[in-house]
Amino acid sequence: MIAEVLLVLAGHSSSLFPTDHTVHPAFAPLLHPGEQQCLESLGRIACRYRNVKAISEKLSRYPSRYTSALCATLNQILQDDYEKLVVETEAKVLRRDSSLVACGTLVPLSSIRATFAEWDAPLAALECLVEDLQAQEHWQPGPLIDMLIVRSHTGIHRVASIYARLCTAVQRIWVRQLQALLIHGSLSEVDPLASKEYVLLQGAIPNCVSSQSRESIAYVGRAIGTVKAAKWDKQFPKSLALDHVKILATVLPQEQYVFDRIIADIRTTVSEWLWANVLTQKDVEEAVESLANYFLLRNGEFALSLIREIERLKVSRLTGRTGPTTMIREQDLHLALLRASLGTTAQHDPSLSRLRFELPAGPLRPLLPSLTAGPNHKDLSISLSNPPEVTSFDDLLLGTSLVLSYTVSWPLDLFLQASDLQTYAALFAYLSALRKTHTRVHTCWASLSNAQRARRRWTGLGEGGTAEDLAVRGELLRYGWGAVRQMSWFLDTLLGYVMTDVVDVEFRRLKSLLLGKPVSIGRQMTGAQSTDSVAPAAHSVRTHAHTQSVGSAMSTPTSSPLDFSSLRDIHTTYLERLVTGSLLADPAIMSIIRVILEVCERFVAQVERWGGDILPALLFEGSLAVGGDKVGEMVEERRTIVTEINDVSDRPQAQRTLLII
Amino acid sequence: MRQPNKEGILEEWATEGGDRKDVFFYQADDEHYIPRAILVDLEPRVINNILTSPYANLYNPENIFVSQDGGGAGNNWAQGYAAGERLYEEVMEMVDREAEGSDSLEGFMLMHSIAGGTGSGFGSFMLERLNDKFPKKLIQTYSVFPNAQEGDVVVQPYNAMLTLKRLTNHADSVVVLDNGALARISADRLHVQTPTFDQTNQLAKPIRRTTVLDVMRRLLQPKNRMVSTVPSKTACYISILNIIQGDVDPTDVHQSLLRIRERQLANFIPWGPASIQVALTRKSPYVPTNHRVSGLMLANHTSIASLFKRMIDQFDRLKKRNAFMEQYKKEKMFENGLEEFDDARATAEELLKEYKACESPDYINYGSTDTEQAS
Repeated sequence: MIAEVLLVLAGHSSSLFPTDHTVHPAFAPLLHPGEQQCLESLGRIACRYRNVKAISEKLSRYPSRYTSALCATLNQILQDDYEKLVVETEAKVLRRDSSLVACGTLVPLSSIRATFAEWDAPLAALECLVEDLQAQEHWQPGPLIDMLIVRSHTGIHRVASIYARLCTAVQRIWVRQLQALLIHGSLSEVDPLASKEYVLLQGAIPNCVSSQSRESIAYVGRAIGTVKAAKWDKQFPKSLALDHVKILATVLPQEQYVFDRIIADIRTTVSEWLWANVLTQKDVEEAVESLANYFLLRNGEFALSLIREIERLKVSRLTGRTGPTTMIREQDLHLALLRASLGTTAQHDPSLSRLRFELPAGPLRPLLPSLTAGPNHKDLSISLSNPPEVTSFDDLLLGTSLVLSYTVSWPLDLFLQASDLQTYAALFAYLSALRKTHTRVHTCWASLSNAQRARRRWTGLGEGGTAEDLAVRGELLRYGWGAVRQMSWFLDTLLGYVMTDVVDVEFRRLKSLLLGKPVSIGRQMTGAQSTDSVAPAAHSVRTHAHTQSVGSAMSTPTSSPLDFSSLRDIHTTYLERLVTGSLLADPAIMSIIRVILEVCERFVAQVERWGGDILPALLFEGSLAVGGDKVGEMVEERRTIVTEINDVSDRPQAQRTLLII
Repeated sequence: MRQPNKEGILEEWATEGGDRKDVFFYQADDEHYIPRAILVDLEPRVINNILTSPYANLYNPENIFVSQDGGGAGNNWAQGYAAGERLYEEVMEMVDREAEGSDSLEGFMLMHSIAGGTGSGFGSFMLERLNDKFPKKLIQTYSVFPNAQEGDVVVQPYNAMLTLKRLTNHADSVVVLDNGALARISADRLHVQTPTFDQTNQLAKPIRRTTVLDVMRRLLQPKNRMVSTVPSKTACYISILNIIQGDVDPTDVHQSLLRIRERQLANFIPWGPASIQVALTRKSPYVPTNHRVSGLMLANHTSIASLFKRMIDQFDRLKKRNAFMEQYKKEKMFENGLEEFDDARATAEELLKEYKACESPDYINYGSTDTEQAS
């Protein structure tokens, strides 16, 4: 009987317990209820053990290395502790150990029950664990480790220690993977930690790893992996790699602080090595410079020429005959880029080849109804009353969405991320729209000036027409000039502010930070608090910018050589400050500016249609009234239009925007 | 900024400045830079001076035009203008050649005096023709206006008036210079009694103080203006462009503009925004100067009207007596009458009125015209 029980406990089947832990019904009447209880509870332990064994057997055949490790450890634990206990008990019985065997032959069931009582809780917990594991087809290491850690926080010591051992085992496997990634930059085929692009996968990292460490892991893995893949002539030194292996082996992710520190250490070493050997200061400076030149229009000559080239492209497509020449495709824009560079300083700049225009909406067919609906004309009052989500400017240059992109190649991609480039593209869209409208208004000014010279040749002193006309035409002319003047002033001011006070200042700051020089921070504006009601707004914006600059200048060690992470920080701050400074971050102001740009464009286009003059030519129909005592209709009509445009630009909101600037 | 030396050969130290030499020069060969300039005179004296000066080899000899008869224009606008008609082909050929040699021609600059005969008469003619031939290009002139006190040419009011009409009708921008004012500034501000040309040129940056605000404030002072005008209470700026050169923190510019606005240092037209544009430029890497910051202001100010008033008055005084008219009548243009004089005067008058009108708050008043339309 005892032998039978011990066999059952060791996992063998028996007629004593035909299905589960209930005693065989034929046998039950022969037992004392107390004995039956004892037997059944022993049977439950045995049953659980069998169950755990069976499921873990099955689980260990899963492809996941984490569950396999878990099962192996589980088996080990059961083998080391539980099975050993069974064997020991049996040995004691056979040795007639006095602690178990009474009167030479009698082995009380209760004492066996007592011996195995310590496994009640652990086996119950383990059964629950394997069932949970079984319930889910595939376990990611992250959630698995998380679950084990949570369960190991139980108050029952034996259960906690078993969970802790399981957890440690799984974490060891995970750390192995991490080592592979961080030391060799390699990813396993099954259950990789990160995607091919070295983006950490969802669920691959346990929650106990801080976000900072996660980012560092991704970063280091990407750096090492890319260095290996690019077969760079300098590879990461072996000795350092060995050190990293060693220190990683000493830690588990659950020891959060130690783990964080070690990851940070590794990151620093790798960064410094990268900074010294792969991505040098020169590369970064060149990249930052060329991005500023092309995206922030610091190369003004090229920017202007590009704007002209695109205008020319539009005109040629509009006037061309049918066929492929009426479309604007990405390659046309690329050609425009190259043509624009001719004769400018950009002509021999190798980084020009990294620039590329993209048409997210596909080729543009100016003569055919466009496939995508164009942006609806927004009324100023509507856009003012409900501040919009985001105003984009990317369709102002070409008429359809146009994105300037920059091909980032190794090793620059360590430094520049897609999100950075998006910010650059948004800035380019905004600045180029501004610049384009600005040049258009200037052209309009020149054409008005030309028209006036041409007109004066015939009309002499005044603007011509009958006596009645003379005054009205004179007035209309003033309106036109006034409108153009106001537009030009607004755009000059805005562009001047953005280009000199924001882009230039920030760029120079960035450069000096990159060179590791202490930044000379411009003095705070002190004179702005008084009188002017608008000045405080401007003041607060600038103060904000200044405090920020103080902060970031302090945080970067200026004496020690720049390390890589702070370099990234500096660049991110730079972009943020550009976006904030150029008001791009303020949706309300942006929507107003967009409307203003549209009004300017409309006015300029109107003048263009009128032949470059505000006043209609004297001999045009409608230019002079038939009876001679009335103002010509055309003059009237044009006055209405010009007045309307003026009205818009005179709106208080628009004015307010100006003042904030 | 002269980087090439007197022979037009690029100085060794002038290669690293990062400047655009090809704006005002073109490169003839590896080391020779030639200014995109055409020198024209109807009498050889001034040009001969240049040709005997150290700069003789700088200019392209094909771009120097001296009238064959060499007699000049006799300080007579009509004679200069007539010479223009006669010499049109030759001079325009030079202009065409230069224009074709430019990658992206933006406009023309004309430097002349309007008191004598050649600068005024020939200059007027060229202005008209350039305007005809290049209707889309901008024309800016640097015109030396007659000085208030002295005048060595008796008929200068005529010449000036006739030229003023062309400047008004054919130029996009006229920078009015006044030798008298320049002389005054150099005497008062720079303590130089008889200014040489180089020193007078220095006036383009008369300020030697260090802050941007200082520079801007001084630029606004009437005594630093290069034209003598009579100030009046209502006179105001229409627009200002400050070109600030040197080591300047752009935030300073912003602050200085705010100060100027706050303290109302510049009186602006009442009907539009106070438009002060600032262009920041680097210090020339070639010209040593001990000023940290210097500046040049280009402004459109209504007090220029007083200059026109003075010109009209002087013109009227001469015209009343029909003095010296015979010289003009000799030329074809005035054979059949002197309406051109009245026409020119009317243009000046109109210009004067426009500047005056501009000082009033309802120069452009959209609101009031709307009501007029309604009634």
